[in-house]
Amino acid sequence: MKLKTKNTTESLEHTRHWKFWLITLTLALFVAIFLSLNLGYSSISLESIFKIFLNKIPIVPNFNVSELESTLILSIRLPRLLCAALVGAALSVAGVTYQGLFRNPLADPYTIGASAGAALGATTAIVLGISFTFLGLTSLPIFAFIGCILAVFLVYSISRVGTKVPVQTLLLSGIAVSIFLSAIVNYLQTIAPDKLHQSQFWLMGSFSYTEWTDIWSVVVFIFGGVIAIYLYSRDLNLLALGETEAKHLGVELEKVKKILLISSAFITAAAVAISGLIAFIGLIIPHLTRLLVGPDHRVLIPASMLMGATFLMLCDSAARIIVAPAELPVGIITAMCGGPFFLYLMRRKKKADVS
Amino acid sequence: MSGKNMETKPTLYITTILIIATILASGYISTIKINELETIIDTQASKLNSYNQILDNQAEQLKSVNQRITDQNTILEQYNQTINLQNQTISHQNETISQQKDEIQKFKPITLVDDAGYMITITSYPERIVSLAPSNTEILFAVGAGDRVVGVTDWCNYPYDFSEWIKAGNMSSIGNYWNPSIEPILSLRPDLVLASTDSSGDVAASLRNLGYNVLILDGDTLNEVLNDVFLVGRATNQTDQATTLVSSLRTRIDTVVNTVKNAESTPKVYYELWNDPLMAAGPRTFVSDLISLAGGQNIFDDAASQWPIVSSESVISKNPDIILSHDAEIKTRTGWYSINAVANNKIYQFDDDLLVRPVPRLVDALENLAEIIHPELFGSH
Repeated sequence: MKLKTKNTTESLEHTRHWKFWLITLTLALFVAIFLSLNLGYSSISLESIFKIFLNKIPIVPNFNVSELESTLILSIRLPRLLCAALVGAALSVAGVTYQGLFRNPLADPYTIGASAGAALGATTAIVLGISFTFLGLTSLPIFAFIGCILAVFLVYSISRVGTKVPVQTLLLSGIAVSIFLSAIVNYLQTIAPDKLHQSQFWLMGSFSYTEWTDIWSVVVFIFGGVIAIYLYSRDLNLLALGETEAKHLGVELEKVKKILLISSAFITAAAVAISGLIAFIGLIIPHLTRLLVGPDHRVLIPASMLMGATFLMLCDSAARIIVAPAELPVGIITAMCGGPFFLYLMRRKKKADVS
Repeated sequence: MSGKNMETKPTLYITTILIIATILASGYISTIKINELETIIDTQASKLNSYNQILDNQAEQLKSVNQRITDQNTILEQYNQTINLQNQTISHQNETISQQKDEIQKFKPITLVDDAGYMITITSYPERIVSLAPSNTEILFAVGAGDRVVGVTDWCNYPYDFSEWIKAGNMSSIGNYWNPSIEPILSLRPDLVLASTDSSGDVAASLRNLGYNVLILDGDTLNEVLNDVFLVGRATNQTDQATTLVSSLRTRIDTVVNTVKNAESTPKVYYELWNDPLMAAGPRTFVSDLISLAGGQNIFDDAASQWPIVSSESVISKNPDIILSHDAEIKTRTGWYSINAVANNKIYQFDDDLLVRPVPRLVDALENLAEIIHPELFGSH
């Protein structure tokens, strides 16, 4: 891949403004947090929200707040939006990683069989009626997590040639494994049509019944994975030049690829386990962030985390209020935003290529 | 003798006349005196009379005053009576109120185990009940706790058209009965929530974690449904009504079962839930159980799942004697003319709610099915 002067200048310009964007995105995150706390079946005023939080601090004297509002904020909305933020950040970082690894703008966290694996795990748990609780998580997220990891591991094993894992092979095996696993999912759904509704609902992705235990169970995986990936952000930058070039520039190619794949797989599995399959976050957010801060992964990764968290929080709030008192699965909202946005991106790219 | 006699005779006469005159005079004077005295006596008498009169008047006045006092005493007595009556009424009402308070407080804390195996203790009279399934709503109203229901789903339609109530603001809707959102439920501040594992299991778990009383009803057989009715009755302090209802339902079921024992045949029945794709009732469904109790045989009792998707071929080869379907064009399906039920025109429509919901109305469905399957025993349909 040739180094175009124009791109270099653009990158430098972007990099110069990264502080501005990181601060703006952080502010946007806080605005999104307060909006998500405020919106819902019943609106809770900003004043009440502050009072409820201040009540939680032991030294400050207690304010008079309605118990219902306190429960809504602290036990329903707060874990829900933190979960959305966590999942949004996780999927975005995984998306950035895969797009960097495969050097393919269409890559997303689900490409190498992760979504099909998680779907299979979840559908198996639903159809077989398996129900148990382990470390605060019910069987459904655990099965989804295991399914996801196993699928990615399967794809990785198929594509491995000695110690090397060619990226093209990964993509192709990912597609093949996804198709196969999806067929099994469809079969399971056919033989148990009474469970169809339940599995379909989970597959569309939702934060409806999030609890604090869900967050604690996966936060370790997500933070661990994100930190691991961030440590290799410089390597991700170099990978953009091409594998051989990166190797020549000192990147320990196979080790880095393995670590990045494993970390992203765990991040994706953890995210999918608690929220189902939420489409398009891993695909759009990296592109959107790249437009703002440029392709340097050292900035791109934190920025996408913030952007992904904010975006998913707002989508979840929309899911809660559009058809109140019912709720839409959040995956529908993200897909509806993602589709048109993706077309817009493509048009821009077409124009940029032509001009 | 001559001189002295002549001298005394005129003295005698004068003396006699004087005496007589004196007597007359005194008599006259006495008479006058007597008259005077009489007059004085008369005057005194009349004075006495007038005094008597005055006394009489005063006596009369006293009498009238006494009368007035007596009258007022009567009125006072009447007032006293009225006040007494009112006091009685008030104390009676106080009694009723304290009785009702007792009634309400008499609600002894009750520990129940719901269909999912969770144990809950209800410590106070449930007054804000939320139902998360149409079947739960039906059961609540059937045991007489309907006036305490504050939230129902959009799909609840029996025993009333709740959408009208919701529009009028007399009832709140918590949205879809499938995977309902938790916030509308919380905003109703319920003290008892009736859920169902398949459709609201997740929200039930969340509510339980927040400390709300949640009862899960998952009746899969007729017996379990009757137990659920009893459970709801105990939970809402309507045990008597629930017991009566369950007894009458059991009697009706027993009547059907006993009558069916005299049946000479067991007609084959095909129940069609949906026609595209063909979805039938499999084993372990109410439809199947009711058909058996009514003296029939569900042709898909050997299927692998509860609501199997079947092929047209399989229905034709099983050749049911009775078909329960909503499709008006069912007779025109290819090859179906050969089916017994089609040939004898024994195709019936059924209100699906009656056959699918775990509610007391299942017994109505049982009786209807019995009439259809064995018209010779139950009278024609």
